[in-house]
Amino acid sequence: MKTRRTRGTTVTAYLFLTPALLGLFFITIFPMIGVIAISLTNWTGLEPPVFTGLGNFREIFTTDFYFAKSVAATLYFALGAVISGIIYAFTVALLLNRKIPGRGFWRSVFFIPYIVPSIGSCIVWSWMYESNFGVFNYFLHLVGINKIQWLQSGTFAVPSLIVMTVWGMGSMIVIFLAGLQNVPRTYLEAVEIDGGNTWHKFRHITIPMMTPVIFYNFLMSMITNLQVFVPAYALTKGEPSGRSLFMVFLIYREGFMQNNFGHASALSLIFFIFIAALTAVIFATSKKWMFYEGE
Amino acid sequence: MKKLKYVLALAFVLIAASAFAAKIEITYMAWYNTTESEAADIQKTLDKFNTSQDKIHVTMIAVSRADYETKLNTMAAAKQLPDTCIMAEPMTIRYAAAGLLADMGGVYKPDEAPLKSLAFTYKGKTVGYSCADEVLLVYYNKKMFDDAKVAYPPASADKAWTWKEFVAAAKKLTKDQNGKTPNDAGFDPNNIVTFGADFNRLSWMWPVLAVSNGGGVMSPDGQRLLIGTPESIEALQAIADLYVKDHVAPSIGDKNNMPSLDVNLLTGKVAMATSGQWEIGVSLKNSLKDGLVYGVGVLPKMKKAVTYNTGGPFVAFGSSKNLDAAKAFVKWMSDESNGWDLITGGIWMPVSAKWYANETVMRKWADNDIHPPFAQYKTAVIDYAMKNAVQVPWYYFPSYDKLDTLINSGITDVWNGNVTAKDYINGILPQVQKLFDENRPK
Repeated sequence: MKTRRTRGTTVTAYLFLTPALLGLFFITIFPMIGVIAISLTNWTGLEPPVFTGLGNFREIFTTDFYFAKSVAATLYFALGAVISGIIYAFTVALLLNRKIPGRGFWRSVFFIPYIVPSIGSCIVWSWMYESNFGVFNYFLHLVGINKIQWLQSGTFAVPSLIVMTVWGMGSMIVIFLAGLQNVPRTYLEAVEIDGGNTWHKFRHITIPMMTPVIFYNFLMSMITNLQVFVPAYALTKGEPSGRSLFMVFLIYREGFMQNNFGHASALSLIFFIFIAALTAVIFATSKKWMFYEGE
Repeated sequence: MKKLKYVLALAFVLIAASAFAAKIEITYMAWYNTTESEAADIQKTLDKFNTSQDKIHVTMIAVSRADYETKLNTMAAAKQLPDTCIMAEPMTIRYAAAGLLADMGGVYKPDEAPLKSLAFTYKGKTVGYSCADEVLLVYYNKKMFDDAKVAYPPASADKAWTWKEFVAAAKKLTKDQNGKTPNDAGFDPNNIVTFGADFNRLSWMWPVLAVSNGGGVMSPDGQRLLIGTPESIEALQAIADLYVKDHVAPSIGDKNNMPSLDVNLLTGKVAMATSGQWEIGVSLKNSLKDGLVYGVGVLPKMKKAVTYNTGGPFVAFGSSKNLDAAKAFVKWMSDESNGWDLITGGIWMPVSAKWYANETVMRKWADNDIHPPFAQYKTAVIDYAMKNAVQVPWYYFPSYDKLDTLINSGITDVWNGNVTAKDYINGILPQVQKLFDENRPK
């Protein structure tokens, strides 16, 4: 039997939780329920919705002209950005973890891109990618190579966007750096005593000890980059020929530009389920390659 | 005495309040392209309306052009539409088909109505008229033609160049870094410094050549899809070949990165280019002080001389609680006197027939320092617009934007020569046909 004091504590706890619960309901759960409901209709935003059951989902998997293109573009971008981002950030973190002159300065330099507003960085990068006067083609011209249509070529558009995205991964560098500083020195010294070299220390101590951090960065980066929107919105509009028609941009275009809110909601749900499933797979397989000191 | 003061003050407040209350409040949504100062200019026009009468007060909702469709669609979904707005052309008939736009047919007296060619219509109902008349033309740098000893593009439709003549002229005007043309041996297509021709490949603009060839996107009644016809495919391939085969046009990537039309002509990057009438006031006038001497001509033809006409419409929403006031405001906005600076400044052409009635009235708006010489402008632009213009299908087809997006979804590959026009169009045709059938007015 609860005492009056316990009941009072419970009430107080719920009172304090109320704002958070209200926020969770109105900002997260309620819109999600709305998306599910809208996805079962042909709502255009202009006329009253008509219930169509699973029609939107059937259409997406059978006749939607853009869906397959968008999935391919999104996966290509996300995998490219995540893999190159992790290699880039881990390499930079390793360098910044060494005792180099001006280490604090360099750490700031590599972090700054992360705090630059993404629209701003997109505009600056678009100038660097500009085919006639851009700095990249200027250097190519200096060494006698013909200019490249960075953002307009089917071959180079997505890789160009990946490079731009990887440049902005300053936070990943910081997280890797924090992880590296937690690798116990005693283990590294033990390798040295056993006659191991730098490679042995990296391969057998640093990498295994860093797997939880790599896992975290991999997972978060994958989720973030699957939801890429700004480069497609600000720079390419899905071009050239749909190669940068990323899923979130497609959802935005279908819903807010072309009044297919039902279709866009169905796309959102499919995409949500895909990301959730992918996250579950990454979690499930992580036990096989992730090392925890306590295990 | 004190009481009298109170009574007078109260009377003043009541009179002021009643005067204010007597005004019907409506809203007008408009876009600004690059800077919010454009919105300030629009506000000046609204101020003029607000002071011109004492019955209606209009408030502006200014929205960035980039976000305009999103904003309007969101407002429609939330049932918070403004009373009036300027509408993006491709979505106009979709809103009409959903029953959201008011019938503007009976608003104008016969002698003041805008041209029929500027009417956005759905199932016989006129839902708006373009704010301006705009047509597609050819602009060229006169000096470059003189230097290359090439005749200027014709300034009247009856003398329009054939496509073959257009390409031949473009080849003589194109120069690589060694001064060679595509007709010369050793021409280097990778290092062209002057492009002879830039036929605009904007998604809604390029089909004008298909129309000229007897094809197009669809029939003028919006009932038959024409994009898959041999005539449309031939026109698309011809435009692509300007870069791929003839080496007279910039690649689509280079084109997207080029500066404005006036700078392209002034710097000799391009010798002639197709674009809209608005370029006279938006772009070309800016380089006149730097010595640009340009001319204007009609588009080249494949079978018949034809151009597109367009212009975003002013509309009133049926949901307006003050529909009569909203219509009155739209009508007022259509009056040329309220956009006179834009008209004499070369950005707009008038919308009503009275400004095309005779040479005297035409000269009032087109014979000035900004426009090209009147004799040339009259035949190449005014007569061309009156006799040879056909509507872009967004004047009558619902969801033209969806069709346009689909048709052009992979067209970069055609422009770059990775796929032929025939293979490309045939590849997407079933999807285009399906979308067309779903949206065709029935």
